[in-house]
Amino acid sequence: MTFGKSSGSWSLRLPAAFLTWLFLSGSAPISVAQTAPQSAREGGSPGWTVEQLLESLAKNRPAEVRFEETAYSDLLTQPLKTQGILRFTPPAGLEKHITTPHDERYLVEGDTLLFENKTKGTNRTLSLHDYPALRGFMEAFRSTLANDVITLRRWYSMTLQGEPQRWVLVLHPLDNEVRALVESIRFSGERERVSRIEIRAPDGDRSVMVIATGAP
Amino acid sequence: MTGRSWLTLLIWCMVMGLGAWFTAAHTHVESELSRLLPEGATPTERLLVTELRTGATARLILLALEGEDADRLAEASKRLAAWMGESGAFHYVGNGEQAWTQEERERLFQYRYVLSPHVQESMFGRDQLRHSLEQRMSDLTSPLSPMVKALIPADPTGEFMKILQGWMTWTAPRRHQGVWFSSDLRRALLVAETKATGFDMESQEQLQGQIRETFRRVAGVSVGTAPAQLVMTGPGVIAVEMRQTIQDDVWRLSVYATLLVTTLLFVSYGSVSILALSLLPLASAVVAGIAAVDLAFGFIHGITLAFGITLLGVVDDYPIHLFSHLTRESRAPAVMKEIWPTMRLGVVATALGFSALLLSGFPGLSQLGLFAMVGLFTAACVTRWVLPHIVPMGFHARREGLQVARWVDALTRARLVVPLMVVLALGAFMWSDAPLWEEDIANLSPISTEQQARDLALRNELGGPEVQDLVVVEGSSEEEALQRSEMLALALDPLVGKGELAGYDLAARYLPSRRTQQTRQASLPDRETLERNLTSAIKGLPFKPGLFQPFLDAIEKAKTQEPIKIQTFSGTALELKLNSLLFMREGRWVAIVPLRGVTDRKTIRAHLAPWHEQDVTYLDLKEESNRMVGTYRNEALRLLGWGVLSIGLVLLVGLRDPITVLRVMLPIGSALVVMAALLHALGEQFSLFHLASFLLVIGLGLDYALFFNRRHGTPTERGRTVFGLVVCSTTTISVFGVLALSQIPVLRAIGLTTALGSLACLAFAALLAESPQKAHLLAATSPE
Repeated sequence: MTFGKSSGSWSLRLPAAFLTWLFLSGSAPISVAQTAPQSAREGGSPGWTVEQLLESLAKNRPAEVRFEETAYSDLLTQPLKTQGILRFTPPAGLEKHITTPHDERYLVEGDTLLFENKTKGTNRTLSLHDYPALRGFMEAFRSTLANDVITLRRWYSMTLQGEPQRWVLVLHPLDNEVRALVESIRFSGERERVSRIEIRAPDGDRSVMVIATGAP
Repeated sequence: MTGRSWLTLLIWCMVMGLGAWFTAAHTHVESELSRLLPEGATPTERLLVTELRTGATARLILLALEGEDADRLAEASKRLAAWMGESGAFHYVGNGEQAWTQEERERLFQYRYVLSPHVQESMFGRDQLRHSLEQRMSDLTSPLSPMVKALIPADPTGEFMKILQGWMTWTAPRRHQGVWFSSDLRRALLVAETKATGFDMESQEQLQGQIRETFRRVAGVSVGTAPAQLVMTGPGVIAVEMRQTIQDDVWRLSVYATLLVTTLLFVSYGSVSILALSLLPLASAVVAGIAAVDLAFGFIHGITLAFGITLLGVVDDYPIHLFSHLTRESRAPAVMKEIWPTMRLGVVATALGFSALLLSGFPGLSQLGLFAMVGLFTAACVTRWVLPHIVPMGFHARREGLQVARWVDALTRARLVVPLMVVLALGAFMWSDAPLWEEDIANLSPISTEQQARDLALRNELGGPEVQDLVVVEGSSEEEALQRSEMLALALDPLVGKGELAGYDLAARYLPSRRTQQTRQASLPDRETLERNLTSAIKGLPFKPGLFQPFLDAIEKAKTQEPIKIQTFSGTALELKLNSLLFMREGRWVAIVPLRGVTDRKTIRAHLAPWHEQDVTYLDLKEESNRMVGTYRNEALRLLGWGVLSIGLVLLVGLRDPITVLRVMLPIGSALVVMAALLHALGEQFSLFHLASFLLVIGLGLDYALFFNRRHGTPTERGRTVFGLVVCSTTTISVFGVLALSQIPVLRAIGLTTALGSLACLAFAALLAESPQKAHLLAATSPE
């Protein structure tokens, strides 16, 4: 049994990681809309920036998309697959709805997070701000919406690779508490569309979410 | 002055000096309100008083930080909570930040199999295990997986999460930045439980001052925005504010009253030295009263002192009588000797009336009774043996006395007014359907409606941590109390299910009885069985081989684990919680089960009635306190009756004439009836404090009636008597009339009752005074 390093961080992990997942996957099209000046660029067309990428993603963002996700864990001998829908309601409402193999909903609206599992009969509400680690993600998300480059830069280092036709954006959390949960998040896509989000945990676990083309 | 009078004076000075020294050096003036409450006659009452005195409810402080900028408020809330936590003055400080510490979680995890109510044999069978494992798989696919992942190998059945969820019995307020907020995000909310009791005014006041100061410091950094404000409520806060209000009110009103009385006395006697001398008996009475109460009780309460001095207002009449009877020719000691029998009778009878207070079961009233009685005798003695020797030679009251006496005596012609008014009053009582007695203790409290509204609003926003309904479970041992409360929980759960109860808290939830712990341990399978079931359950699921080794180890260990005790949680917030829910009192173990959100008290009462035989009692704290106050009021009423009866007997012995006794008692009785009807018509509902004031009115009325019915030597002498009475009653009426203007219900009750009663007593005593012929005589011999 391992508890977190610092008091409180153990139970922080769950929602923190969850939010990393939820926000960065759900809001990927807009949540990285700013280029941190220190972010490195490798290859790619000259002049192609995170700002440009984000702007084009935001313009073409669909209200909902289907996804298929594969989770790899060191507890398991084979990966687990789930399917569902991601929904985005401006300005800060997000929903990750797993439909197969079980029904589970994670809904973030403003400051609160609703977690609902009809099979288990669970229905709980949490506050995003209960946990300091979440703060980074929330701020990133919100400051992106508010075009707040300074806040975004405080939480992430960003690397944009590839070209407008085919790109990869990698986020590395700067905050230690966030780092304890997430090593990196890679968004990949073509032009103004996100097609894949991969989240890696420090212990080697990872999940890969593939986003379907077109509306569900 | 003769040698003897010098000696008297010297002795008085020495006694007073000693008394003053004693009171200054020894007397402990108490300010904790609960010290005035009775111990309680029944175990339930004693428990109630203990709850009021030391219970967690009485120690709660609810705080709200109000402002426009929620982020800043959240920051201030965190800093304030951090300071409060470090100050060591609080058992608990909650602002919504992390509930459980690392250490607490580890301890709970270690004991998960005896703490979880879900532990039973079937849970470790093949099918149940399979179900659990499937759930853990879905956990791994959820976004929450990084958290649950760490728990899965040692706790595949999810006991730990079930325990934590089961303990979240109360819907917390919304949060912002990790701290509690009102739904509109304009108030950051905190709850704290002080170590000092709610009625320990000194500590509470100091603590609240420190909280305010810290708040200013942590919120003071804001520049440019509107400043944040701190709102506090809770029993301790209200008590401190109440005391402040009482002090302010008493101070303001005493200034008015003193000015009024001084002016009146000066106008009446035109002498500054007389003014000063009239204060001697009162001052001596106060010193003696304090010393006596301190000797008898070990402390004197601030409120006893304040009300006691009010009650002693009656002794100011004694020197006035003396001064009014002085003439140019007479010597004060001789005059004193002449009026003494009347005064003595008044003193003894009034003291008897006050003795009713002494005998009441209310420590507060007993103190008041003793204080008033000792003060009364002291003042009488000082007036009798000291004052006459120091009155300036040749002082005499003004002649206007005669004029006043003529007016007053003219009233006797209208004596029929008295029975008429009594009949009217009785009629008014009979026809009125307004409640006679004040049944709700809350209406007696000087809490303003604004304070009440603020308190209610904060409690609602915080999810109502208000304790009005309790179930008290008793047992001869800790184990028995715990076992009984576990059984009670089984009876309460259906009520929660039906929505008649929002929830309840229970010591056995955190500390199950040994029996329950052993049952849970016994339901754990042995290692081989568990391993077999697990191997069978895991078939076809993609869990790594050997993953659940920690689970097998944990169950094996839990089977032989030492049971948990209160000490298991020592040093944690849980220990504090347990201590307030489970404690020993008078050799019995008591488990308190606070109920939340009771929709219908009758249903709960009926539901729990059969449990009474098993030492399980349902308490509606509000109703209990009202009932208790009602009991003491009835006792006071009974004692008042005895007081009146003994006054009558004393008068009979003193006056030796039943007719005169009747003449003395009749105006008082009529005055009481008329006054009560008048108060009733004014919308007053009678409480203990009205009854105490009735006693004062009886004391005053006796004084008036006795002097009115004195056998007067000459008309001039009667004139002096009447003049003295008018001065006495005018001062009394003005002092208490001022008190009636108070905002505080108790002071208002005393002021209004006494002022009206005093007026009625004087008027009726005059109306029913002896023969009108004397009035004629008086008129005939008047100088004009």
